[in-house]
Parts: sequence; structure tokens; C-alpha cells
Amino acid sequence: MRIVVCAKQVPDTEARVTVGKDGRSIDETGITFIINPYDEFALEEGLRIKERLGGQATVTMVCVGPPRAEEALRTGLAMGADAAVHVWDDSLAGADAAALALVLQAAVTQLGFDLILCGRVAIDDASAQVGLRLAERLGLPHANAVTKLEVQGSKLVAHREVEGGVEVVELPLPAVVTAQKGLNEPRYPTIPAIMKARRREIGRPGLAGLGLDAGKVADACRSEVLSLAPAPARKGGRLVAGEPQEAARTLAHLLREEAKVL
Amino acid sequence: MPTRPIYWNVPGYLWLYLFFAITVGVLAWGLWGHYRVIRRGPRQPLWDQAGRRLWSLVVDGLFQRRFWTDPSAAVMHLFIMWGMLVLLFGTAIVLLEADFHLPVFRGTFYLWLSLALDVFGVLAAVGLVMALARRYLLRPARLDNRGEDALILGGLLFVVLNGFALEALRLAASPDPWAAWSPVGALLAAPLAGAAPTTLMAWHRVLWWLHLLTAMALVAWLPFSKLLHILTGPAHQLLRDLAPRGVLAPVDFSDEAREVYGLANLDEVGPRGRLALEACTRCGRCQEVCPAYLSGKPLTPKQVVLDLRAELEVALPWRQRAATPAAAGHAAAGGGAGGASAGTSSGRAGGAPATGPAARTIPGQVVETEVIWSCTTCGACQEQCPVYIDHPPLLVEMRRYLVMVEGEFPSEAQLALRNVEVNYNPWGVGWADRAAWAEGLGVPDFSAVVTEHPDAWLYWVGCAGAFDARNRQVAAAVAGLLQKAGVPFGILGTRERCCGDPARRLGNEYLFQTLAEHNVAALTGAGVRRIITACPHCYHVLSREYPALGGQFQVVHHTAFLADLLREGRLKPARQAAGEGVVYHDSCYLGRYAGIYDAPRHIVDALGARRVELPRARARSFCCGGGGGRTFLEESLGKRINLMRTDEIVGQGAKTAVTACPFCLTMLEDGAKERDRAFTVLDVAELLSRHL
Repeated sequence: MRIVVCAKQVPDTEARVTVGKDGRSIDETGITFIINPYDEFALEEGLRIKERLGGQATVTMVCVGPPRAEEALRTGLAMGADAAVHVWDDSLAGADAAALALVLQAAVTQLGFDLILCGRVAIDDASAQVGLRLAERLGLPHANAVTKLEVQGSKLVAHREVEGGVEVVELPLPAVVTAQKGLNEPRYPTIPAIMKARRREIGRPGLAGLGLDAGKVADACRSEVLSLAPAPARKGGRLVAGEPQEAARTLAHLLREEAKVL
Repeated sequence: MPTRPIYWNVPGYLWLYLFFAITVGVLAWGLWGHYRVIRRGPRQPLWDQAGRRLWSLVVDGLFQRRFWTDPSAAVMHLFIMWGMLVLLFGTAIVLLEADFHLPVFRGTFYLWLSLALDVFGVLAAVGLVMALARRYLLRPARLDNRGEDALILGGLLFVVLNGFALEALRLAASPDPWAAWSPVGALLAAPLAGAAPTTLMAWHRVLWWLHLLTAMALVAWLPFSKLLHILTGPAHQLLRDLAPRGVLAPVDFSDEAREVYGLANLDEVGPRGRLALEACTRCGRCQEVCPAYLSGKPLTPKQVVLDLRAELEVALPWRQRAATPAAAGHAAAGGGAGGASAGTSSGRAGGAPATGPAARTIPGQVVETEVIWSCTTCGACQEQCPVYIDHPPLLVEMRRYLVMVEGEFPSEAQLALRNVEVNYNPWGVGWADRAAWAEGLGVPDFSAVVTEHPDAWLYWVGCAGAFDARNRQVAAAVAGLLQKAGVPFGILGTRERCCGDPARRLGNEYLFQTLAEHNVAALTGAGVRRIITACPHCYHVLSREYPALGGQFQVVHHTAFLADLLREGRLKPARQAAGEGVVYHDSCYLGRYAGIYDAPRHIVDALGARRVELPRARARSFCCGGGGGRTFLEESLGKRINLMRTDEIVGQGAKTAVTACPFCLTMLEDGAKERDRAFTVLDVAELLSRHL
């Protein structure tokens, strides 16, 4: 079974993010980048499926991102991926989810696959579209936000997290699955594996190698970032004092009139 | 001339030479087997600081320095040891007289020797009776009784008492003008005065052979029983690791093809480590003070050593045959029995060195992983061990294997390590906020200070001081005190990263070295020469572990620094603590590791507080439960260590507990919360700043 895992490199959750000079991207200085946690769940699941199947599976990690993203691929190789593909071109800076799906489609088609695993969402732009757009482009069935996954012959049984419960779906291979938190606990790479991963070859097809060019990417884009603004600083909580009945009335009033949530 | 006939009344004494030859042969064979086991593994220099080693042999070997924390055990063991040494000396004198015809067993020397043999024989008997009483009547939990214990103690006691009986029978049967110099024999001879000489002599002959055979049997048994410690104990005292406590050996990561790190098996353990395992006498002092053991966790340091020793001794010639079938699953192709000599001289780089037939993976197969993760590296065991076995480093070596090779460890440890990797602190707070604690406090960056004061101090804040809400208050107090005393100092801000203590103690040596490299470069680059830190763990790492990685700095713990400021009058307490009771809790890394016991006490005393000592204080202090990276792990087995210590503090009735370590502060404060806030916990610096 050929498993392909699509992963993105994102700023660490604790990073102090500031808007860059262009007003449309973040300032990357002083930011530690990590594999998007949901993509890491996807990678871990791919590795576990491979381990369950014995030697009859391969896991290839694909990452579209600037040169720094190589680090994420090395981590993936250290965790146990068999191969890694790094796609980058300066014209991809600012590419949206639709364009990324186009690039990934070309990449995974070139690799060949039976199962594509993605994270449910990237924690930086939180668009949660790439996996599903990729499935649509490939014309494949998909299961989104999966918390449990089983391969049964040529079909998948996936447990999906839905509002208030779990939905169990069955889908034929090939398919696209996006990973939700709870699917697994990613492993910690061992030192010999990290050492080996440093020397491994990483595939770099380039846009041309995938049969694409800057124009095709631009055409695929469906959105453009106009500006970024920091989230308003969180204000301190407010204590509603007074007798319980009175306080409850004040609270209800505040929620309706000020917070406008009721 | 005073003397006595040798081999009196033993016509067939020549047989003894046969028995003697057998005894020496068995003894030599056994010792050779142990020697070969100890000499396996990589070579290492053993004789550096020879003077210090010999001195240790005198005070630790001959005078048993480490026994004196338990006086009754000290008396017991000194009596047995010295008694047996003097009796052995007496026997050697007889040998010189009888077989080498040297005139040594005569004259005044003979008389004094005779007296000494009686006196020390009595001491040995007293010691042996004490030992038997401890083992079989008092039964302290730290002693596990095996058959060999009874046989050895009983055998030795039999030999000693039998010696007195022989003396009494000889004196009763044949008049001796110097009988007064054998007072015990003379005393025992008195009631026998009326017996027929032939009866006495018949008994004498029987007992003489029993005496001889028992003694020789015990000597021959030495390599095969715990009597071995008579040789391995002093040998390890002599050749032990003299590095300061808890300083771990760095791992060499330069060979990228290396597959194994840490203590996977004993192949990579050198003679010193092997000798340590062979030196254990099962006395259990380590167990008696181990917080993990006392709180009901599966770890006992004694058992770890014994399990490792059993693994080591599989290679002994007389164990190999017995051990092979049990380890059939691991028997590799190729020679088994010859392994004892194969692995030493030639290749140990790269491939697998020749192991004995039963090479098992130590973490998991010889020592359970739960045992390995239970250790707080508090060092209480090391402090107690009479033969200087260092238990915690063994467990950390096992963690190295589990973390770096197997990638198998508690998920909380994984989280802490990831946090350190990404944000350079185990709590995982964004690293850009490292200096946030100092906002508005007027604490300058070091580079702004060093231009004016080339000798300025760097305040190494540490992750706790920088990121943990409670310990940020301590950092603010330390900074305030330094400012008040006019000490030129600054901080590294975001250039400071975790010193690496939790990573190293949790077994991720690779991460530790990455952090150390960064920090050494940052400190050196900033022109730092002198460092103050409020964290004993940072103190240990910066002062004792960074030198091996190229970082040479003068490091001072804040308690020592503040105590000096008080002594010099640069800080003056404005108000006295009016005799309020203050408990001081010794941090393991400040006390047992760094040897700093008095500076924090000096500060407490200088404030006029009534210092309350805990039952377990100073070198015997009981861990808070937070060392060895355990602050960041769940404590799901047994009782919680911090609550045990909390209850000890509650028992002293003081309302304030003072410590000098961020982990202790957190652990004890958590404990106090669960005991209805019976006391408040402060860092020494906070206590001081409240009285200025």
C-alpha cells in the first residue's frame, strides 16, 4: 500500500506572531516552526498502518513550503517516513488552499498512492480546506476529522468526530482521510533515526517537474490575502458582584447587550 | 622465651597443607573468574588522583567513614572486620614461624599478640552476635536474609568461639606459664581444670580440625558468596569515580552510524562500573533512604544493583552453564562460552561486541521501565552507600537507551522534551517571553552592563524563574536584592535557554548537548565570566556539567551569594523575624550535589528567625519528588513524595517553610495546598527581601 502524507510547516503554537512589513504575511524572525500538529497525527497514522501491514506499505511525506520546510521533512523521515518530497517555488508564496490542492494533486499523482492522509486543519491559517479540495480534485472519497482509522483489505473504516458524537463511515480505497486530534499520539524520533534522516535524499521535483508553472498556480488561486491584523488583546475577566439573583440579572444583561452572545 | 607449641596435639597436621592447597586453588579460580568479568568492557584510566584514592581507602575502608550515620551498624561491622583482620594477622604470624621458620611467634611480641588475639576475638564475636541479632531479631526492612547470610555469620562465629575453646582446652590440658596473656582462654579453662587430660585432648583434636576446615571453607567460599565484598568493597572505594556527584558522562554523537546509546547491556560498562556492581553487599542503606522506595514505587536502588550484577555474573565461568538455557531466545550464532575474553582487547567500535550467551536488553528485560522512571536522582542512595556505588547515573543511562534508541517513555516526558526542543523550556511557554518576568523591574540585559563592568555578574534566571508564575516572584526577589546591594548584574533574556537538566536527567542527552552548546556559546559570546543562579539544577549543570562541553564559568548559587552580602553588610536586615519558626528544606541538588548546607541556614539565622530542622535534614534530606525531571511526570505509583515531605514539615509545626530550589518550592507548595495550607513556602531570597 502506498501511503502519502501531506504536511505543512507552521509556527509553533506558543510563538509570538507579529504582522510583517508587507501587512499581508507574518514576520518570521524569531519564530520556531514545527510540523502542523494535525499533519503529524496523519503521519503517525500512516506509519502505524505501515507497521500493521508489515513490509507491504510505504509512507511518503509531501510538503509544499519554503526552504525552511525541509526541517519538517527531516523530522518526518526520522519518525519513519520512507521518502520525502519537498515542493517549492517562489510563485507559491501566498498560494491559497485551492492552489495548494492543485500542487498536491500533481505531486501525489506523480508519486502514485492508495491512501492520502492529511491533517484536518493547519493551525496557522486554519482554513481546513486543503485535504478536501485535494480529494475533490482527484475525484476520491474522503473522510474528514477522523479519530480512528482501520484498513480492511481494500476499504477503510473511519470514525469521524461529528457534533455531539461519532460517525462511522466506510470508504473504498483509494481515498483521502484527514486526521483529527485524538487519532493517535505521535512518536518521538530516536537519535539513530534522526542521524540517518539527516543524510537522506529529499525529492525536489519543482513546479516544472510536476507539469505546473506560476501561471497555472495563479489561475488556481481563489482568494488573496489583503491584510493581516493581530487579534485584539484579551481583556481581563469581569467579576459580577452582588446577591445571586441580582448578579444573574446583571450577567444576563451584560451577555445580551455588551457581549451580544444571547 | 614466651611462646607456645605450634600444632600441639595435632599429629596429622600435615594434612592441612593439602586442605590449604585446595582452598587456595578454589579461591584463586574464583577470584580469577571475577577478575576476568571486571576487566571486560572498554578500558578506562583507573588511577588518577592516586593520593586521594589511597586516603579514601584508609578512611572509608579501614575506618568505615560512611557507616557512622548508623552507629550500631558501624560498631557491628568494625568489630567483625577488625576482629577478623587481627585474627588473620595472628594466623599469618603462625605461618611465618611454622613454615618459614622465622622467629616471630615468640617473646614480648608473642605475649602482646596473644592478648590482642583474645581481645579482637571477643570483639569479632560481639560484632557477629550483633549482626545475627540485627538480621534475625530486629529485622530491619533494608536487609533481605538469604541462606548465605546465616552460613557466613554462623560460620565465622563458630570459628571464633571454636578458637577460644581450643585455647581453653590447651591451657586446661597442658600448663602454660603465659596463660594470663590469653585471658579468655584462661577464663574458660578454669571450669575444665578437673577433666581428664586425655578427654580434653581428644576434644581438642576434633575441634582443631573443625576450626581449620570451617575457616578454610569460608576462605574458599569467598568468591562465590557475599564475602567477596571483603575484596571488591575496598577495591571500589579505591578505584571509584571521583567526579563530583551526579556529573554524567557526555555521550559522543560524532559517529552518525551509531545505533545504540545508553545502557542497553553491560558491554560498554568499563571495569570501574563492573567493580561497583561487584562491590554491593546488599546492606540496603540505599533502599532505606530512597524516596521512590519509601513512597511505594517499584524502585529500590539495591535491587537495581543486584539485578545488574546478576546480569554481569552470567559471564562467570561457574554461572555460564546454568544461565544458558534460560536465555535461549537471545543466544546469537557464534561462540558463547569464549565470550569472556573475546570482547575486551579488540573491536568495540561499531558492531556488537561479543556478549555472553545471555545478553538481555537491560531496560525492560533486566530492570523494569517503571523502576527506571521512578528515580528522582536525589542522590540519597549514593550518599549512604559504604562502597560508593552511584545508582542514579545507572538509571539515567537506562533512560538514555529508552529515550534515544527505543523512543519509549512516559507521554508527559515526551511533552516536556518537546517543549524544551521548541520553546527551550519544559513548560512550553513561548520562548520569546523569557524575559517577561523582568518587565518594569529595571533589570538590564547583560550586554548593557558588561561594557561598564567587565566583571559584572550574569543572573541566570532558569526556566522556572522565567516562566513559572510562582517562581517568577522568586526571580523578582533575587533581582531586587542584587539591585539593593548594588551588585552589577544583567540577564541574557531570550538568549538564555533551558540549561538542559530535565532533558539530561530524562535521558535525552542529545537535546541536552544541543542546549548546552547554545548556552555555552551565548554565555561566552556575551563575555560572561561569573554567574549567579537561584536554581540548584541550573547550578549543577552550569558549574559541573558544562565544563566537559567547553563552558568554564564561575558559578555561585544565590544562597551563597546572598549570605556573603549579609556577612559583608551590603544587605542589612531592617527588621528581625521575632523568633518565628522557619523550617529549612534542603534541596537535593543544592545539598547533596553541591554541598551547600550552611549558606541558606546562615540567611535564615541572620534574620532572627527560629530555624527548625526537619528530622531528615542536610545530607539525609528527603527529596521533594521533583528531581530527575520528575517535576514534569505524573506520579501515579504509590504515595506522593511531596506529600510525605509536606507531612514531615507539618509535623514540625512551623508556619513557614523555606527552600532554595524552584522545583522544591513548587512541590512543597502543592503539598501544603493539600494540607489546608498548613504553612507557606518561600524561597530564601523571598524571606530575605521581606526583612529588608
